[in-house]
Amino acid sequence: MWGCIFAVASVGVLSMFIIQYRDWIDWNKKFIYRVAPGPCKQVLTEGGSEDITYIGNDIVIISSGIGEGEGEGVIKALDLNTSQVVNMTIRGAPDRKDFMTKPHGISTWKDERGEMYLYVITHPLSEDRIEVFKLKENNILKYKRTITDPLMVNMNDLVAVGRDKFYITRFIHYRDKPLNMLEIVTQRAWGALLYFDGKKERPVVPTGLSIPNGINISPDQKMIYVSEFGTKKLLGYHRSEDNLLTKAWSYDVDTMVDNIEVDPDTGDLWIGCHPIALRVLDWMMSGFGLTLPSQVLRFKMEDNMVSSVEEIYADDGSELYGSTAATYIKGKLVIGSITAETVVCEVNYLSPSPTSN
Amino acid sequence: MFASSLWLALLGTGFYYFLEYRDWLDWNVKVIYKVQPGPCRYALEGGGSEDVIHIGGGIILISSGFEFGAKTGKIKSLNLNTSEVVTLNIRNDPNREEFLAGIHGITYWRDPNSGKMYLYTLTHPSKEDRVEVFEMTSPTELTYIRTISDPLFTFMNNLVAVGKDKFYITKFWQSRDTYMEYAEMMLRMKTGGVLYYDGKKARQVVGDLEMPNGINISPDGKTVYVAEFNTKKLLGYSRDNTNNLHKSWEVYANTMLDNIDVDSSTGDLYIASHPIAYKITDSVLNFFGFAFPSQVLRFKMRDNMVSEIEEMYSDDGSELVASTAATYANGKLVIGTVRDQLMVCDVNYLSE
Repeated sequence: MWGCIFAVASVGVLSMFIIQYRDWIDWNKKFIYRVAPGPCKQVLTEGGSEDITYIGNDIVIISSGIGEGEGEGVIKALDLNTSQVVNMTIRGAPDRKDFMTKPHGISTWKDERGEMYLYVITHPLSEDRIEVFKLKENNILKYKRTITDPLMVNMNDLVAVGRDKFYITRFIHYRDKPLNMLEIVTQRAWGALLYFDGKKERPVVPTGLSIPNGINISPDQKMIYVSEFGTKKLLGYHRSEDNLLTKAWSYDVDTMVDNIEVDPDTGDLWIGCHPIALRVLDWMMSGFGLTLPSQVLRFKMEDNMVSSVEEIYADDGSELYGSTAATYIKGKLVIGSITAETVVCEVNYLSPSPTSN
Repeated sequence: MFASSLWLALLGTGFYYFLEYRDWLDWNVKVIYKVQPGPCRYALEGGGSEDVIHIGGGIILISSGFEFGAKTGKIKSLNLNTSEVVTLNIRNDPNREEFLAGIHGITYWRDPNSGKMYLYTLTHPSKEDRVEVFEMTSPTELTYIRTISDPLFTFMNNLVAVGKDKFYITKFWQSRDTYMEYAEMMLRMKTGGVLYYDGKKARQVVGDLEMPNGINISPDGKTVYVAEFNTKKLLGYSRDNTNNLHKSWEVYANTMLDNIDVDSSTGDLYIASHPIAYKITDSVLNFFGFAFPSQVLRFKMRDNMVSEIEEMYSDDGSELVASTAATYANGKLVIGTVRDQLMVCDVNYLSE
C-alpha cells in the first residue's frame, strides 16, 4: 500500500518536473513570425557584436569577436549616417598576446570634463580582465589600465556609474566544461552581482541569480536593471547611496533576455533576446548547429517599472543569427548578435513612451 | 513484471498525449508582446465586426452581431477616407424573424457585365443556417434578393464568392447545439469540411477538417485558401475546372487562424488569429471570462504558396479583444473582432 502511494507520488513529481523543464527549454517552440519596424540591412555580415552602445555623434561602438581566438577581439565603430563600420585603433596597448581575447560586455562613462571612458570585459584563457580605454577622436582608443580581481570571474556585462566604478554580472559559478554546462542545464542559480568601487570589488548580490546577463541603470541612476537569462526575467534593483542593491521587482518576459540598453531621454529599455532556450543550449554545447532566431523587445517604463513590452524586431535567424543587444538612436534600431551579423533597421513607427521621469 | 511494464507503457503514452494536448491549448504561454504597425485608433467601440471586407475605394463592409443564439445582425460600412461608420439600410427586407441572426462571414461578387455588386452573408437563425443575398444598390443601401439554404448546411463559418450565387463555404461544425459544438472542438473531431454551392445546390468538396474557419481565393482564382482553426494550419487547395478542390500544401502557423483576406494587387493574405487556444476556445461556453488576445498575420505569397509570415499586430487583449478578421486598404490595417471593437491602424512600413 505504501509502495503504491510512493510510486504514484514519484510519478507525479517526475511529471511535474518534466513539464516544467520542457516549458523552460521551449521544447516545441519553432515558430518565429517576422516583425520589422522598417527596412533592415546587415551592416556587418560576420564577426559578431555581442554588446553595443551609443557614444554620441551618431556613432555606435561594438564589442566584436567573442567567438574568435586568443587576442582576436576588436572594438568596432558604426557610423549611423554612412552605415560604415571600422575597427577602432588601440594606442598604448600592453604587450600581451592574450590582450583583447573574447571581448564581452562593454560600458562607457563620461566624466565632468567630458572625457569618455570605455570598459570592456575580456576572457583570456588564464583570467577575466576588464580593459579600460579613453575614447579619442578618429576612432582611437587609448589604453589606460587593466582591472582584475580574484572574485571578478565569469563576468558577462557591466554598467559604469563613475570613473572606474561599475556593477558587474557574474553569470556562472563554474568556468570550464563540463561543469559550467551542467550548471546551466540543471538550472542552478549561482550567479551574482558585483560592485567595483575603483579599488576592489564586493558582492552586492552574492548568489541566487540564474545566469545574470545584461545589466544597466535608469537615467536617474536609482534603479539597476538586470537580465536574469536563466529564468527569462527582467529584474529591478533599488540602488542605495552606498551602492548597495535591494530587489525592487521582477518581470517575467518569457524569453531569454540578454543585453540591456537604456534610452537616456525616455528611460525605455531595449533588450536583445533569444526566444528558444533549447537552441541557445545547443549553441553553447556545439550540439546540432540549430539556427538561433533573433528578437528585440522594447520595454516602456514608468517610475522605473515595466509598463508595457513591445516586440520591435523578430527574425527566424536568416537575417540575424542570435541577437544579443539592441539600441535605438534617432529613428534607427541597431541590433547585435553573438558571433554573426549586425543589423540596422529604420524604425518607421515608434509608439510614444509614457511621459514621466 | 510484465503487468507493471505494461502499466508503465500505458502511463507513458497517456503522458505523451497529455503533453501534446497541453501544447495545443498553449497552456504555458504567459506573455503576449505588443506589436503595432503604426498609430491605431478605434473606428467602433463595440458591436462586433466578425468579418470585414474591402470592396474598393476605401469602403469596408462589416458584419456586426455574431453571437451564439443572437436573433439579429447588422451590416455596416466604414469609409476609410472619412472614418465614418454607417449601418446599411435593407430595402425589400423580408421581415422574417431572425433575418440576419448572428451574422457571420460575408463575401461579395461584382458582375463583370452589369457592374452590379452582390453581397452574400452567412447567418445563423435557430432553425438552419442561411446565406442572405443582397445587391448593393447605393453606398448606404442593400436590396434583399433571395435566401440560399441547403440540407448540407450545418453550422457554417465563412464563404467566398466565385460567381453570381456561386461560392465555397466552410462547414465549421457538424452540430448546431452549442454544447455539442464545444465537444467537437475540445475533442478535436474532424467533422468540418468545405462545400461548393453551384447556384442551385451544395456539394462537399473537402471533408475531415478540424473546424475550417476563414476561406478565400487567390487573385487568379486557381488556389483556394482555408484557415483550419483547430489545427492552427493554413491549407492551400488547387481548384479544377469542375470547381472541385485538391489539396496542394499546408503550413503550420502555430496560432488559431480565423478569417482570410486576400490583397488583390499583391496576392498577400491578411489573417486575424487567436494565439492562445485555451482562452479563445473558452469563448464558446464562457466559463472563465478570459481577456482574449488579438493578432494579425500577413502571409506573403509566391506562386500562391507561402513564402514568409509577418506579424503585423499583436495585443494581449487590453486594447483589442479577439480579432477575427483584418484587411489592408489605403495604407491602413482594419481589424475586426468577434463582439467588441473595430480598429484601424496606419501601416507605416510594409515590406516588399
